[in-house]
Amino acid sequence: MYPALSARIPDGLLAAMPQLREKPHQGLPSSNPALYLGFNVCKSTTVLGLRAAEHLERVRSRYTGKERDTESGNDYFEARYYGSSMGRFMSPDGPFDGSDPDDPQSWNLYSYVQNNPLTNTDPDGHDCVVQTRTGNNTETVTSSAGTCAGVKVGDGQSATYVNGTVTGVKAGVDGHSIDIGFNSYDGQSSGTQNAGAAPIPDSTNLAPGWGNNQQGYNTLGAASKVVTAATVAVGVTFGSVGGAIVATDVLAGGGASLAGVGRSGASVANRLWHIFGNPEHGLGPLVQKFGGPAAAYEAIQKAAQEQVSVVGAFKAVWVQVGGMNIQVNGTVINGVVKISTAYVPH
Amino acid sequence: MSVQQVTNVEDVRRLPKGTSSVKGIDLEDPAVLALCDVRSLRELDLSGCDLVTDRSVVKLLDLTALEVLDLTLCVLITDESVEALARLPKIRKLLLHGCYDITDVGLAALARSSSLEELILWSCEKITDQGVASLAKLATLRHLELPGFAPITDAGLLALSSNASNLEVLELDHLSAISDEGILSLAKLKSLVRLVVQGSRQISEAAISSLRVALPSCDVVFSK
Repeated sequence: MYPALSARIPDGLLAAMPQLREKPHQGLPSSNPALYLGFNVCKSTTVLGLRAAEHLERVRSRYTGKERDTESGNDYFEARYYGSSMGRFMSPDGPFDGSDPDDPQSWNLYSYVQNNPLTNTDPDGHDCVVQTRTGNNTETVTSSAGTCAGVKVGDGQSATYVNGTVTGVKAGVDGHSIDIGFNSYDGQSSGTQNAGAAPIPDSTNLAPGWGNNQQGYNTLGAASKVVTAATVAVGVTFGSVGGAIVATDVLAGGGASLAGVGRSGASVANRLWHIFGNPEHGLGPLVQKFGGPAAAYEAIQKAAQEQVSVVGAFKAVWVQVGGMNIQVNGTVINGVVKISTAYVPH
Repeated sequence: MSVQQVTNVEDVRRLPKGTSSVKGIDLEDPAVLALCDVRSLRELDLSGCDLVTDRSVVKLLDLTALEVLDLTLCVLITDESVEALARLPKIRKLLLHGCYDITDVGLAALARSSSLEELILWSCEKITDQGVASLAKLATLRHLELPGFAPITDAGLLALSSNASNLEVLELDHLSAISDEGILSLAKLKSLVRLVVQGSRQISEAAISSLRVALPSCDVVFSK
């Protein structure tokens, strides 16, 4: 993450660069909101018409251990191809992937780890999204290539592995969390993953980015070297008043907003941490199945809403989620099930 | 006692004089702060109000007539709130189900209550034997539901059996570290009328049978 963790893409910069605001991978304006989520962004496997079976035709590349397509000579990064001879991916990242307003090199959507392969790697073409709480109502979302392995997050931060290449970020339907748009691992589909919200830091005086606390940032450092090296800087501003956040607002780093998001984010984060943070609950496979704790929680919530038929507090009620039988505790308030915990019984 | 539902500050301000029971729906701090002026309140249900924080909950101390407080899934409150609530002079029943950040510190404060009879701690997984030992000293405590998956061991149960002589209901759910020794020690609690032991693998049928013999008037519910 860059020193200015609050670095959102400024409106002024976007005004001067309408192609980035509108359709960065083509430089053409568009009114199609889906583009901002990146669902229409081409990925290399689609472009090249490849399927998984064709992986057999590849041989191991000596660079980062990735397979090389024998026909094209390009390295396969699972979500897209890297043209080793050109030092470029054969298809662009999604809008603003890897972009930092202060680093023009990052605006090149075809570049590989900002033309610095000695220090930065893109292990598999997939992404790790780091959220940093920067205030009661704001957080900054960055994305780096590769898994979250080795990505260290500090106070007020969270890291979420996305099983694909990030194409955009928007506020979740609850207005308290973020939805990450991504193109799938195999490049054949796209989807969204809810990543909750960055936690409220325990020590706001020291947390990176909190209230633009440069001293705190210097104390704790960036989220990790990996993230520092290749970041997307997409600011999510849960601002003061207003309606729902839409994708355009988020990608523009703009100020659409919902009130009270700071506490809401903390509430969600606290619940996710409690339910999925204790290995004794045995929910690891469920998290893996759904691609993250937020998505797993949503699935549990949905199943509980359908299957729990009590009124008031309930304990040890069986629900089936993702093929697993788990037990949930919670309460029903005005017909809405609210889960306090979930676990796989011994 | 009729229950008034409120959803915001305006609702609170419209409450009839003398209102004694309120259920808050998705309330936030400002509405809870406004409730602090309803001094006639005896029962307050804030379950599911997951945005309320210590900032407003500590002010509930002004509700000196309050007897029942439900803070289920008020996930942002901490020991700071519990320390304040422990000083409510008439509080009888406190539901902290899903208040994840409650620790032994809060329970130590609750142990100083002079009126608390019923305490629900589901999902408060930060509580340890130390917290249980604090509660054991609470002479008024009659009903206790401990959190599953908390690091509570036989030591906690031994503390209860030695001190919580007025305990009538005890629920132990998914406490993997408790064993027959702890369960058998509960035979000292002659006031027990209901004991629930679920999801604790180390507990044997033999120990439960012995306990049933020792406490013939106690309904012992057991399942692994």
